[in-house]
Amino acid sequence: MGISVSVLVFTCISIIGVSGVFLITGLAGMFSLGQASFMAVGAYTSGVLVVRFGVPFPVAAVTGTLAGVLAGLLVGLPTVRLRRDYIALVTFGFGEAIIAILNNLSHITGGAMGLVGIPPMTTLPLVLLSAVFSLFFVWNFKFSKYGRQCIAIRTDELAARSMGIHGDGLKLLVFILSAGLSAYAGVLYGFYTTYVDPGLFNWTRSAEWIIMVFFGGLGSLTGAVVSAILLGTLPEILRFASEWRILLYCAIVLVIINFRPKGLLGERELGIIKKKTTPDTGRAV
Amino acid sequence: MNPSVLTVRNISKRFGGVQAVQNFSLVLPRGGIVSMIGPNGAGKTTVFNLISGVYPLDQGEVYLEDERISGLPQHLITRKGIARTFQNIRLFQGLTVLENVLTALDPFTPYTLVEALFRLSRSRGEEKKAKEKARELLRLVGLDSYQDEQPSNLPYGLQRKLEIARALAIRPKVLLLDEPAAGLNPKEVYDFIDLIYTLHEDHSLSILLIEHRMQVVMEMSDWVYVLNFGKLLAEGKPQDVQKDPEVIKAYIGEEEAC
Repeated sequence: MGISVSVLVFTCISIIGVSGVFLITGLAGMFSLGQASFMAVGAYTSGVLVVRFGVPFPVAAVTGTLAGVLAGLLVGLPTVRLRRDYIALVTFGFGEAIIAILNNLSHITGGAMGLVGIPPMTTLPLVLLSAVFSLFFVWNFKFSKYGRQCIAIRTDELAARSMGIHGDGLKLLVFILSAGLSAYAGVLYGFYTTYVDPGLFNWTRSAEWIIMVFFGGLGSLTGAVVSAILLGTLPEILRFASEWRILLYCAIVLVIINFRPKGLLGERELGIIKKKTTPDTGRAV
Repeated sequence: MNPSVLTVRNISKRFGGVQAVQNFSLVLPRGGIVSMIGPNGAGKTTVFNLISGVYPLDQGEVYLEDERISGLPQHLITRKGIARTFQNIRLFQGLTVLENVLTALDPFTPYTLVEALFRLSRSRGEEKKAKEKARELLRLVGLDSYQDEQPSNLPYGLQRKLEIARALAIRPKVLLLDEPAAGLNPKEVYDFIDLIYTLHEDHSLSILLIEHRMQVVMEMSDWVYVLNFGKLLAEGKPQDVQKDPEVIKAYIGEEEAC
């Protein structure tokens, strides 16, 4: 397959992961630095099932996603009661722990050598369709009572609780949903590259996704998509600059965040689909 | 039927070395307007926070009608029918005026996550109904023409009204108003008193009020509790409390200096 197809596939996978981060960070205001480890849970669960146990791909894909949901529940239960900064710490610790477990369970996971021989089941139409559906769900979530209550919690948790909003329950729900999305992104990833190793899913990927959400505008799903596409393809576009490209990438991110602290789109959504947009209040988030 | 809608019995709360509220009791009769007054730091807002479950009680009990609500989590206490506003306005920035009211309706809106994710007809129908209801509440406080504004763009007096509309959305039995007239100009204060009377009569709301403006307290309340250093200093009809020498010493004398 050509480079452009693979860039497209990876961008779609990023979009799915980023839509999960949008839920958890953009809407509910929690920072998860362990988001990529849910991706690892999805990729490894489905990969191991197919490679070691010969389970058919669709069953493995669903199981992988559910495993991510379960992991989200386990991490979320003790975490959602914490303050934001502690949530970042705990999820970071959890993420690195998952990596360590994958490295050490080498008889199942292949350890640091990686899991090889995953059949290539992820096709371009599947990835495109998955990205579209993920966005459809997240969009509907944002513009439902759930999304509204999340934004209320993000801006003022005490007032939100005083309005009868079940803060912890809602945060746990968001945590689980976003873990599921990440895990599904992991499934697609593993069955595209046919090879996964633990190093692919460390906190730098989680951080990259958070950067994408901020770059696009914290409250804007379309902004997150635009930035996932831009930042996903940017390293490819900058390929001519060889080793300077990562530096350029960072510089571009810094410039945007510096001059548009609310991200490319702020709270606004692009497009024709939705009613009026909320004005940019210029308030730093 | 229990004649009192809210009963607070011997509640206490200590923060480190400070006894914020000590053995305080209060009765809010059905359909009544009761005020709490007292110097800054007397523990009035703490009493609100204890009733609405922001802090756990050290001691004592709170009953809504005949049901004990102390010890429940904050969001459940609210859903039982206790709504409040805040001394330093706490609206949801990033949501529009209409959405601010909707958030308080949301816990009562009966559609499920799956219906929301697939945007099924029930979720769309319920959203529409909720919006209609929210617009009605905005109309009630006179904010219907601002529904798509950001709350931060509204003048202070209107933000106060929006907080009341949001509180009414939970269909409260009891409304706790924490210094609702603070920062309002004299005309806005009159408007505000009218609004509270209207709500009180049309919705048979029972209201517990913290207020510094004596004009509001004297004009509106059936009964007044005076707090000082977390303890009850006096209670009675507004005109009697106003004459109480202890109260004058602790509170009204101080207030005149401002």
